[in-house]
Amino acid sequence: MIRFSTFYKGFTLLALISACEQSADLAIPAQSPKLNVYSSFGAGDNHDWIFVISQSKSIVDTTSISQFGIPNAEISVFENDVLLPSPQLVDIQEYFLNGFDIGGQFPATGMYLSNIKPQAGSQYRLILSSEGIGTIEAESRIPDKVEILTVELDTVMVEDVNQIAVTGANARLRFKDPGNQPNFYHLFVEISPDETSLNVNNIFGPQLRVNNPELNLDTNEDDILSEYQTLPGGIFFRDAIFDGQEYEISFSIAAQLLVRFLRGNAGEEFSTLNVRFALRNLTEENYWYHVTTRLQLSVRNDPFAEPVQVRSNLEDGFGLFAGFNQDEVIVILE
Amino acid sequence: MFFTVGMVALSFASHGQNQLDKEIKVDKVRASVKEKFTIHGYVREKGSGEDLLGVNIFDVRSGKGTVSNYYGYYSLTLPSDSIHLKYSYVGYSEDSRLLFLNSDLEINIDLEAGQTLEEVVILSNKPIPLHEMTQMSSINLTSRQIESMPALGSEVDVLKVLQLLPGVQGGHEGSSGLFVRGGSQDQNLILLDGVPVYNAFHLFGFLSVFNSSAISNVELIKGSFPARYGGRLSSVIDIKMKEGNNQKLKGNATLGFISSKFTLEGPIKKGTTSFMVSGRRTLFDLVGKPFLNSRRGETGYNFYDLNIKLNHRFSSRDRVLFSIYNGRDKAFENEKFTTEDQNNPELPDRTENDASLRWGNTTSIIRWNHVISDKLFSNISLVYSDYTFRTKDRHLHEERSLEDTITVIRRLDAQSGIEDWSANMDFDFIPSPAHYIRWGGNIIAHNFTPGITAFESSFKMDTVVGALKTPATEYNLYFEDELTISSRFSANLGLRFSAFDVADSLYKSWQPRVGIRYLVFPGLAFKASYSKMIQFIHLLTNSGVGLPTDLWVPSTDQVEPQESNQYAAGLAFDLADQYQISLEGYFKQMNNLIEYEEGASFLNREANWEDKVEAGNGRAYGTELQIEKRFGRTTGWLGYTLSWSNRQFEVINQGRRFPFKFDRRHNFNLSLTHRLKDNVLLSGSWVYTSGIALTLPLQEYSGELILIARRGLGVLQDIEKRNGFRMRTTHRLDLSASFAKKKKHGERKWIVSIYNAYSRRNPFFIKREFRRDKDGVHRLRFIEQSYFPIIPSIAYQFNF
Repeated sequence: MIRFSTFYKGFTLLALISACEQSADLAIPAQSPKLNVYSSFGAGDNHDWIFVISQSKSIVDTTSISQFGIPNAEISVFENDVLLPSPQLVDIQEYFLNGFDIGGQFPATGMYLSNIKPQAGSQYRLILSSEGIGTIEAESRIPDKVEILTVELDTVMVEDVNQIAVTGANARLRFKDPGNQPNFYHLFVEISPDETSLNVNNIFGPQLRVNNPELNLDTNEDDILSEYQTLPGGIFFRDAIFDGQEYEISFSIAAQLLVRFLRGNAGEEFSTLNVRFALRNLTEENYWYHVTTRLQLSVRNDPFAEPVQVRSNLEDGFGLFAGFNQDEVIVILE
Repeated sequence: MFFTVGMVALSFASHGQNQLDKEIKVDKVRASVKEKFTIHGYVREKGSGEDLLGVNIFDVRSGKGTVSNYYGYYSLTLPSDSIHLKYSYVGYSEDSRLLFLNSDLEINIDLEAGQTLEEVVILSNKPIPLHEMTQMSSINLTSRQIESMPALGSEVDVLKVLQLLPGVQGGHEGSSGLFVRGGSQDQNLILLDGVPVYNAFHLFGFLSVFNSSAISNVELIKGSFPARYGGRLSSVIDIKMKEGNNQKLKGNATLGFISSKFTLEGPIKKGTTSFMVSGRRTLFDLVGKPFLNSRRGETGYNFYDLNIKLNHRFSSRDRVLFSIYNGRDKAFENEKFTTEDQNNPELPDRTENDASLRWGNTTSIIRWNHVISDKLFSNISLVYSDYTFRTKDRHLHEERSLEDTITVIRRLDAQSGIEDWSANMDFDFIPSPAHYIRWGGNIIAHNFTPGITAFESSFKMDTVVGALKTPATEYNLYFEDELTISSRFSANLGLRFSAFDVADSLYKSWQPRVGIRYLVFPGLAFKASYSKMIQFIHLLTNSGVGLPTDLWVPSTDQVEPQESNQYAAGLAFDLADQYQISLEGYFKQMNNLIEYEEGASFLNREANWEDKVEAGNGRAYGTELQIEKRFGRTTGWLGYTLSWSNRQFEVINQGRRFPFKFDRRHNFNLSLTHRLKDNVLLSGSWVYTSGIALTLPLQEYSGELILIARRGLGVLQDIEKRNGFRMRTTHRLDLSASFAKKKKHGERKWIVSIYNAYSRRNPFFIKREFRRDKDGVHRLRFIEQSYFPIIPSIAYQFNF
């Protein structure tokens, strides 16, 4: 019996060894760095016009991306072919992050602020250059505002990450889509105990989940197998199924503070709660940049997913220079 | 003008060294010199009664001839005269008949297979010369050729042998996937005894489901499609199972590295009814049991397949065949365990996990062959084909206390597949040697299950998501005529009509097929063809390796049928009756191809599949050279393919054309078999192919701040081009030797194989890894993983 067992194990071991793993390096050709800019700008006084400028790095380079910000970029912005004052470099930590640790995944420098407020209907052009890297250009515009008609807030039973039924907040937002043209939307929510702390640069908005399956989102937010995990920064959708019509989008809001307010048991913590509903009408390039970035990140760990190319309106460069127009409604809960 | 012929008893001249033509007595009849008579019958293998398809039958004196059909039936109509009929088939001894034809005749021929070296040498047989065939872009392989090729783990695989042919690309290293003339895997119509097989793979794509012991013949058509074939764009792989020896009981058993198998065949009633049973099962799970199992549970994988065929001849005019195939793969893991609860040490928590993947095909056909007249042959069949993939995942956790028990249950059942029922009628009409007319049609009832997932949890009602079953009906009608216009010029003209009725959509398609041959000079023919093909079903795949997770889906109102137009032209040359040389060029335009959209994955099962796909076009073109030697001690072929295959989708790769994943520029192979002695057969194949295409990011850059805040992911990757990279070139030498020895009750055979004899590190996939450089700096590296170094194996076979 012992002999048989030894043979048995030896045979299997031989089979495993003979099919062992071998490896060899795949040569990746050297890459020239390219300029990368992120500037999504909106009409009105509620938004600062910022530019985050950096350069790309080779995929095999393990240096932190925080080292690749460009503090001395030459930025020329034109409004209807008229050159605007140049944006000025600002301290990213002071301005934007407020001490938030981004773990080396964002440029430590290279943020510029413009004192110009873009106008609806105007055309904007960017020429960006940096010594040793090159020059890139892009054009965009500010689309028309799409007004929010109504907003309703309610509580519903939803399932949490452990598949346990809990009370959740649900909202319905109605708007009128302009007809005879493709429109691209970005819907997001901000929550704050008081109106003054609603910050246009707040990056901590709650996660949203769409309840309109017919919308067929271009992002993967409707993936039931990925638990209750929606992508950050709100919902991106198109008007393919409601072109020119009034449409009501229904969505869940993952915010326990909001749920407590809606159920009337917020306790002594806050006396009021301000909820801002923002609907942005995006240019097409703005929409596809945001959708494809989210899509690329959401499938990065799925070995079977089809690769995603991030769309950009900057030829021979990366990133985005594109406009939006935002309408918003602030609901005050007491 | 009439004349009378008396009793004819022709004496026969000897033909060859050991053959005598047989005496045929013809009754006294009145015959007209203008009158024509038909000789018909079956050609079978001597000793087994197995039908031989593609046997060349021709009258030496008039030079007119025909070929036996799929069921071994032939019909040849000639003017009344003295004729000298020759029957020749590669690997078999030639037979001939001398007779005066003055009446319709039935002549059934048994050809003897060349078994030994001596017989091989004296065989005067030859295949149908390439330059005489109108058909181009087609290759026929017998079970002998297939079984003599070297194989991974000594497990001969039909599809891997086909990969060695020009125009055919393999998938990933070691896999059985086939990509013919730049087409996708789903564009191959794989028929087992005339029944479509939807997932032709065991072992996650590394082995085909076709047990070589049960196969008698394989035909690959990659262009110039006759009108009788349709439903796929790129190829027809027609695999014929053995019918069962109707003379005596025979069998074999093989103990192999990957699987063990047996085949038993014999007469139920001698000469009339026969059977064949062949089974195969892997031993991985049994061999690996001591290592994979634990006290908690067990893990394992196995597959099996079973082929059964029954064959009954009611008369020389009627025959019924029934065959069935069933194969299954199963990968499983289950465990049960308890964990101590510190609050209730006497009541430990209990956990049970049970997960499995199962997939497989069942195919079946009942077929009635009827000789309606000497010139008209019919084939009526009922067909069933089913492919099912199921995944099951159950989790149970119990937390017990004195007061109560909290039970958490999660269950996920996912199923996808396709089921077909079809009725077919085919007719062969051979009015004269100048025409071989075929017509027929079929109705196929498809039932698609393109991914249904059922969830159940303790806190949630049962939920079913995904696409529900989709029925569809396909109709096909065809007509073709293989006509000989002159001694130099012949053609195959055909037309196929197809319709597909699904939900509220009805698709219709007329598909013309044209093939021509012009004899430039003796031995050399120019050939050209045009084929329009339509395909109503699509395969959604992320992997391209034949994983069971690939989904078969129908054309719908949103997803149109795939179609292609293929043009081919080439030269066929027969050199000294020893070598067949073919050189072909082709161009194929494919429309309405579908691909998963960017970011889509089969893991995302909630979305309807129609919302996850993009439609686009494809283009493939190239040239193929094949030089084949089919006789003598050394046989084999040399093949070279230079090809391009591209795809273009509006929203993939920013609308730019990109290489197909299995676009391989160069593909060279040399396959040789050498009979060293009577009982020793050596074989080897060397393959050289360009690397497969893959998509890699080249640069990184920062994204939006909000992405980092939420996911800790903010760095985006630049994927400049879809499939813009190439893996390294693949090349490999495989060797095999078989040693046979007669024993008291049969013949034993040892088969020794070496896969990848010089252990080339052929890449299988790309892995990213952070590794330290020589200078101590950590860098991201793309590592080409190789899983198939030199793999020796041995198999033992006993034939009786």
